[in-house]
Amino acid sequence: MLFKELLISEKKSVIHTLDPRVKIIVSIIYIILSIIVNSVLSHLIIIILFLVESVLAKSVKAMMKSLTTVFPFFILIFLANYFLGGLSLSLSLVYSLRLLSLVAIFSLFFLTTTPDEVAETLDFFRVPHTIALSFTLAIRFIPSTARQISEIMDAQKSRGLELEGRNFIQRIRNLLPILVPVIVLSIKKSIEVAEALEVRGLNLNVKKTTLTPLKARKVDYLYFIGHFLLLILILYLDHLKISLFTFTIF
Amino acid sequence: MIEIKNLWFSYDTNLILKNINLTIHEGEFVAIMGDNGAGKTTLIKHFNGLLKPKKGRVLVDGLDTRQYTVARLSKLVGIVFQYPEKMFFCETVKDEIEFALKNFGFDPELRRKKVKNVITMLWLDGLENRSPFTLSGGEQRRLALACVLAWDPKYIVLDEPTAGQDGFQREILTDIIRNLRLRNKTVIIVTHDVEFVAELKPRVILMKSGEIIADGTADEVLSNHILMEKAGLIPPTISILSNELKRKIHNFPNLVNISDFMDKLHEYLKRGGGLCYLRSY
Repeated sequence: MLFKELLISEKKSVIHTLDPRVKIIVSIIYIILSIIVNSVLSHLIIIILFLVESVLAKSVKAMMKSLTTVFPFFILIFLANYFLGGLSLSLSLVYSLRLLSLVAIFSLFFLTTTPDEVAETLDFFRVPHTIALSFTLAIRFIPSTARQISEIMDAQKSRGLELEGRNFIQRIRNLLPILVPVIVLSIKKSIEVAEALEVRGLNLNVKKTTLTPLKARKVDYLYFIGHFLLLILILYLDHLKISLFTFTIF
Repeated sequence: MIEIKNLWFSYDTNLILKNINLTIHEGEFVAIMGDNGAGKTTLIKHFNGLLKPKKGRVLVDGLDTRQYTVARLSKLVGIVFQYPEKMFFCETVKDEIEFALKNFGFDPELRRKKVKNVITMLWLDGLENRSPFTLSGGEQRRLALACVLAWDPKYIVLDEPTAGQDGFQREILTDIIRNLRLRNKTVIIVTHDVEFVAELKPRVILMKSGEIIADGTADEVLSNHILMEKAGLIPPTISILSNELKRKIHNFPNLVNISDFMDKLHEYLKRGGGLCYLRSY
């Protein structure tokens, strides 16, 4: 099945049960961190940290799948910066490692947080409910849209459409019979969902309540403090400009 | 002939089909039945190579589906999927029908002829230049069928043809299937609509949890209430009625089809044998 790794797993682990507010704050901080730090070592620490967390979340397979999916881009960014951009080896590596660290952070968050938890967190941060809901629905419909694409591909292949082949232009043109039904069905579905939400009182101007109110526990504080300390360490290492290549001839 | 030999199929660790052995001969009319998740659609996706067996073999006219592309096998096996709107993308009904013909390399003159024939055959006259998206549910279903019948495949597979159809559309569909049978086409329907199957009386293959639990005539399978219950299906109304009558009329057969039932009842009434029982009933 397409995008199988994007399906939110039901596995319950300590990472899954963390307060989503803490996870979202930590993720945002680390996203900013991976954008601002410029040393190979800092990026490696971030990637290893989130890989270890994916082991704790019993989602290491899905995490590795996400990382290997973007690996060709990792190579491409590195080669483009090193050979075409004329950057140093270490800086070219930093730019490509940045992609991996961002993917690792995003993957861990979405693999361990349900759309409902994301919506609740956004509500907590006073994001308008309709925006929070749109965000949730967008995530929730990824697996069903993926399933739909797969079914459309089956239907068109059964009508003699060849999606494989050597001619690149022809392959792109052959995507049209897939894309048109996907767009039409997505629009139809969005109208249906909007109607279903309206008849269930989405637009009523009352304060929304939740079945299980968010509550931070000791483990959430520990998770946050641990990440905060690591953040200081990473910033310090970055400030010292320690890179793996400081000790090599590069 | 479609031959399925020791077919096993799974999605990752989820076993969907377990040791399926089945032969469908040319010109046969077959209904594959079972509840949701029985593996019916997964099975038919093996007929044109959309899915390849994990173990075992599927042979279509001797061609091993593992060795041929979906396009090559689709020329022999035409599948009409459950939701027709999922395959439409052209601006007009005519273009939609012509799409597969272009893919299969028919020349323009033959294409035009085939499109015209299939439009008449499926009662789509007057809709040629309409957008497929503006058609009614029944018309869309007929268009989906037209898109497949256009290239005249030897085996025609219909996935849940009656789902969401009103009585009138079902009648049209019944006529179309009868017409295909007259042309000696091999028709395979996947459904859990027992009344539809009881009316058409094909060979019935009953599936449950990825296994074939029964294979026989419609009368044999649909009238076996224990089997039907096992497959998660409700027997046809006529079969339930026959069963009730059986208690009152000695030797009254368990029938599934309304015309068979009426004939038998007429016969009994004419003989007078069962009349007194019926009166008391």
